[in-house]
Amino acid sequence: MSLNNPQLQKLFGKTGITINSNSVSGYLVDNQTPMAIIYPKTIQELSTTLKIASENHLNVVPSGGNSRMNLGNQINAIDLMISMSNLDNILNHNPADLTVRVQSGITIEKFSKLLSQHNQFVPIDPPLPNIATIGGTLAVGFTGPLKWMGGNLRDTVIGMTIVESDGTIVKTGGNVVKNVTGYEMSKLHIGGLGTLGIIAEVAFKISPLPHHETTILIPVNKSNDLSQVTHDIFQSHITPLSIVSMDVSTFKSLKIKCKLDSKYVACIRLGGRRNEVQRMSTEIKKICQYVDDFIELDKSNFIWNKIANFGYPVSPKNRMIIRITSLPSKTISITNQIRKINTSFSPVDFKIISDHTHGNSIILCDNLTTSQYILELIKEIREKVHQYNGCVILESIPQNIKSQCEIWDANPNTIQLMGKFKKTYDPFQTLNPGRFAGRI
Amino acid sequence: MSLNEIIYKFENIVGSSYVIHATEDLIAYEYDGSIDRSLPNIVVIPKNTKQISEILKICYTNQVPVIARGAGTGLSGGAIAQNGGVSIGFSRMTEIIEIDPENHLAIVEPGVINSELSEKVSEYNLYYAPDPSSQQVCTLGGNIAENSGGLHCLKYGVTTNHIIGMEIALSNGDLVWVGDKTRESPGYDLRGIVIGSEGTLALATKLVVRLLKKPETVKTFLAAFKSISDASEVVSQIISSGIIPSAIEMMDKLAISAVESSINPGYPHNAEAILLVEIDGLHEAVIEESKDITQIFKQYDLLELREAQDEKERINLWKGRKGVLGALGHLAPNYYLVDGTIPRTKLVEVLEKINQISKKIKLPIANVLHAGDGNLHPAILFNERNTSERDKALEAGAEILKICVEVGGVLSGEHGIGLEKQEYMPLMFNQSDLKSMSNLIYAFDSPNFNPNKIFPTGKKNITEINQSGIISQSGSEIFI
Ligand SMILES: Cc1cc2nc3c(=O)[nH]c(=O)nc-3n(C[C@H](O)[C@H](O)[C@H](O)COP(=O)(O)OP(=O)(O)OC[C@H]3O[C@@H](n4cnc5c(N)ncnc54)[C@H](O)[C@@H]3O)c2cc1C
Ligand SMILES: Cc1cc2nc3c(=O)[nH]c(=O)nc-3n(C[C@H](O)[C@H](O)[C@H](O)COP(=O)(O)OP(=O)(O)OC[C@H]3O[C@@H](n4cnc5c(N)ncnc54)[C@H](O)[C@@H]3O)c2cc1C
Repeated sequence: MSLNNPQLQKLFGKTGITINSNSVSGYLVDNQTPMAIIYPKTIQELSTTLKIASENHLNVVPSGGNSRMNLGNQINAIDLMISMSNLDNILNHNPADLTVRVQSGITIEKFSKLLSQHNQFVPIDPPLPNIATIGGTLAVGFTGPLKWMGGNLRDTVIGMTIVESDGTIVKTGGNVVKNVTGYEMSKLHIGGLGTLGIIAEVAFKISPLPHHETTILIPVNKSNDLSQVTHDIFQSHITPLSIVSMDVSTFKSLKIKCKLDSKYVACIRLGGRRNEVQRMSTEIKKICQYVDDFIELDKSNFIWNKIANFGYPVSPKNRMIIRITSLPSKTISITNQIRKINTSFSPVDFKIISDHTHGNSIILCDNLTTSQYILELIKEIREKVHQYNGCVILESIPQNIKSQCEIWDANPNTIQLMGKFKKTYDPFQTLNPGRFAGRI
Repeated sequence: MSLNEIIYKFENIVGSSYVIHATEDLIAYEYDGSIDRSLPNIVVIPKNTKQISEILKICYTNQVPVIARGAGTGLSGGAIAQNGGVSIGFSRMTEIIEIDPENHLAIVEPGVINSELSEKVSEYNLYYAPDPSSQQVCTLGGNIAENSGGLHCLKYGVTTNHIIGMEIALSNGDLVWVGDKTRESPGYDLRGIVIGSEGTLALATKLVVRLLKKPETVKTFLAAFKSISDASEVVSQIISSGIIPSAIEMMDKLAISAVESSINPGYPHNAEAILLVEIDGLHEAVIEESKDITQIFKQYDLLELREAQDEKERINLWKGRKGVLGALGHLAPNYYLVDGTIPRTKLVEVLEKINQISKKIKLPIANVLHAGDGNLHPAILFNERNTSERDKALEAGAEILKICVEVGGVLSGEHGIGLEKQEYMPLMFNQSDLKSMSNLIYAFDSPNFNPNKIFPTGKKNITEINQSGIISQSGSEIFI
């Protein structure tokens, strides 16, 4: 930090940009408080803010809804937080073209509402949609447990405006659905955790909402049966929107009003024309002949909202959230292995939701005790996952162990290459310093 | 290091039969699908990643330009060695390394031909979705470099949506995995950056591709219109009604007459425009969607609405579309095929403007469109020997691209920038945008990879620029 607070106030005072250094205590990032929070109202103001910050070697944390600020390695230092909350306008929605362009501070809820008025959607379903923003969700880049078959978050972005660390405003892509004009720079920022630039505007390609939706719950008692069910549906010629599974204690923790007596449940989300959904549902029953019970729920959005919010809001002190990615065919073996860890330690309360189309699992661990124990648990989980060539992201871990473990499993080769990107696009380590994979 | 020393080193790596350096042998490598011509100094054809790595090390130390080459079907001059250098051919890296039907994945080498992959995985009822019209010959490596689309990308997306990981070779010969077999891998999405980078940042050496289940039912319609604006309106209507067909293709009167006089697929002669609309999916969905689409069609005064009754008729309907570029050869000795994308709702307006341009320059323009995506391919017909016609065609191409950008569209929907459109980049991007993009070359340390492409040089004048877009001859199986 090269400036004190009065100096900072003076610098920004000249620009007319809103700066708040009074109530900053609620905006902790890794136990550090920013000196001030800046609220740019235009991209130009955002650009000026970053220009001032980089010229004065200040460290900046971009902030959306602040719902995922605990994701990432321990930050090296923080001087300013830039809130995107005033940049939340819809710039251009063209329903007939199935495209939309928004400022990145818009909340997911506001965004989805706009689209659903036209029976449209973008497959983004993060936890806490009323506070999470488009910018934050893209910067984090997870597709999450709830996703629509085939839809990957990064595939829906067709253009972006980015403000780079030195304040340069950069446009990439466009507002049309098919485009190979120049490099696709937006890919650097989706999942880049705000370490190479701040996402200011995003253009999406949107999809029509399915006419009709149904969810089928398939209760089973043996893990082998669960494996069979998810496998058989994934391999069949029907294409559900999601195939998710969990054990019954996890299901109960979601507080879904639906009685289950089995040990596990597979949740199959179907969408499409009414007849099509009906046919898929019949097919599922045919495919899973060995199952005796199916629960079909017509109005089922509430289940998927609960699944999306799984684990949230987090209180990081006694809860840990771990995200695993593997091949879809390995998810059940991995989660079985992880559940076994339970027995070799003092009791861990695992709750796990697995997605069988993309192969992710989200693991919640509660009742954590000492740091030593948590670190060992993480090590053990990593070992199990690596046996199946999967990878681990520690989404949310207690603050006091952050300095002792790496959040992402990235290989050293890739980290080295990534370091060159950081050097090129953020040479003074202005943005989120130290927080990304490999402490970039 | 002298040229001869480099040749000698390459021969040690790959064997002398796979290093080509005699001028008469190099000629086969001087062009691609465009008409630019330029000889590389050496062509080297490695067998595996290790050999590529060793070759690249030598090129890096000597700062020799490296130009990757797939099948050479690119239409923007991407595989042309305009400043000489080493062309790396992928024709021996054609192995399908692994098919994982359980996870709907395959790992392949970049020299694999696009359609071969779908054939190989067909026994598992799977296929590789991106289907550029050149799919019988183009390589997956070339597809990656151009982020190629295809007829069915309207519903299924382009190359980047179907490649989940790659092994890439960096300019210094290092090999790095970006993405892998899992759908989310940690770190910056360098996979997404390399795809579409036209061989300027890294070479793809292994690809993990996503495979899709084959659709249960497919239905294809031909609708013939009395006006091109009706056809354009129908495209918007279908899209905004919440149906995403797998393909919506449009051809105008001139294109129809060209195919009718050569291939004769049975399109109505008197139509101002036809649409080919294909929908696929589960039987029930296809039935309902076809009802809705028929309703939309019926709001217009159609000359004809035909639904393919069987696979034979379906193939026949597509045959005309597939053969259109070859057929244009019957109308004029040359054509300049323009590639640009516009918002779909601007089709009526832009096609009218193209029509006016055609009248103004007194040259016919045949329109063939991936209409569902708003991807235009106006083909300006002319005779190369008549220099005034040629210049007018080139200027008209430039004008069309400007119109695309003005209505909120872009310079290229699927053929890339390469040499053809590099000088137009400032129409869409300012200095800061371009600087940010070119910074990637520094981050990848790849100034010797396919140098002097994509970015404007400011040197060429308009009549030189476009030459690469002109295709003088095309076969009957051509399908753009
Ligand atoms: C268990 C779990 C499940 C999830 N499931 C899904 C899912 O199903 N679908 C889905 O889409 N997402 C999913 N996510 C991702 C997630 O919810 C996002 O992290 C969240 O939406 C963040 O929004 P925010 O605005 O609160 O970001 P913040 O918490 O404000 O910021 C998050 C990070 O992004 C950076 N950032 C914020 N705004 C910007 C910007 N404009 N430009 C650059 N960087 C910025 C911040 O510096 C910070 O590092 C999931 C996450 C978890 C933990
Ligand atoms: C008749 C015809 C129809 C076409 N139809 C379509 C269509 O429908 N849709 C569409 O999108 N395109 C189409 N094209 C354009 C072209 O076929 C595609 O761009 C194709 O992807 C090029 O593949 P290729 O193997 O021929 O590549 P090449 O032309 O050999 O090379 C293209 C670019 O890729 C780079 N490259 C090649 N291999 C690699 C590698 N392994 N790693 C990194 N870079 C590499 C080259 O350096 C070059 O810049 C068509 C072309 C023709 C001639």
